[in-house]
Amino acid sequence: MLLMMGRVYDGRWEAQLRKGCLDLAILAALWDKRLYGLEILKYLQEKAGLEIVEGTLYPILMRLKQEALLESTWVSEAAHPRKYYWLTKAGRQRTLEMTETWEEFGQGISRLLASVKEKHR
Amino acid sequence: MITAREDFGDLISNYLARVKAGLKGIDDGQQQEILAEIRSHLTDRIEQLKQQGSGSPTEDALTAMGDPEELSLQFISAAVVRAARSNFPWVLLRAASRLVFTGLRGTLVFLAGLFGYLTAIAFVGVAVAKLIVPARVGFWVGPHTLVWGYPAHTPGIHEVAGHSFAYISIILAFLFASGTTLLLKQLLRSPRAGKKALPRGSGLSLIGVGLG
Repeated sequence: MLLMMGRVYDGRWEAQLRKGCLDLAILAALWDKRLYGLEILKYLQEKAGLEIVEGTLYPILMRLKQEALLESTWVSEAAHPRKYYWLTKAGRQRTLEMTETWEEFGQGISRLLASVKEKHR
Repeated sequence: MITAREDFGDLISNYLARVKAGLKGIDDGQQQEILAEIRSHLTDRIEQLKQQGSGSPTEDALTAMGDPEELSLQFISAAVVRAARSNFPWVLLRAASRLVFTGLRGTLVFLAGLFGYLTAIAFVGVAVAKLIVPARVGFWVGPHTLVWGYPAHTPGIHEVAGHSFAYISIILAFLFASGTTLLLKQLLRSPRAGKKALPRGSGLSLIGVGLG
């Protein structure tokens, strides 16, 4: 039972952790380029090994746009229209803030993990 | 299982129709934009899968896109999340009304908001009424009777709050309004959808990415 509970808990933790970084990952993908949805997915997969259910990307893009972190436009140069996204000024600022927070958090957790690893050697 | 005879265009149309059915509460223009973007994605993805030699590119693209009902819920959640930052009751209540179409939980969220704000309005109403007809409005207590406001019959009951009634009513109105606002903000902010954001066992090593 405990093992079962542990498995359930671990799964949730991993899912929450992954979900928590999606916003930053998407903003980072758009840091210096304009991309449409499929390009963002490809970029996340290639750069970070981050595979998400593809449809999940679009509600997040919609929310980030509503928060004025992204801007978008339809481009009809290809065989069919594609919606391109890019960072707004507020989006760039937010990306920097999130990156700083991520790094500080990561460093703190790394120190904790180092202690755990040391005790198990 | 899909056979070569099946119409792949119908598969996409059916998928989009299921997404659209779940987008009730989002305005038409936004719905059309959402569906256009999904269609654009699927068109690209199917072409990509064909080039990769997929035997059933449309089916694979739709599977990769995820469950359409779940996707709709994620869009609804995304649509209301901005409203959750507002402190205005009508903005929050309007956002909550969008959740009515998402199921029982959404309906309960909306009804809770509606009840909270209507109760607050009712308290303000009786506070004002107390100023207009002080002798008839109050906190009436009697055998098997407890009335906050305007009782239908007064014989056998008596008013116990006195002049404090209006003040207490205003305080209660404030508490209900602010409590409902906080509750709605919390409920709208907490994502209903997104449980399937990432496939289990995906290649991401977050610790490696974040701490490496």
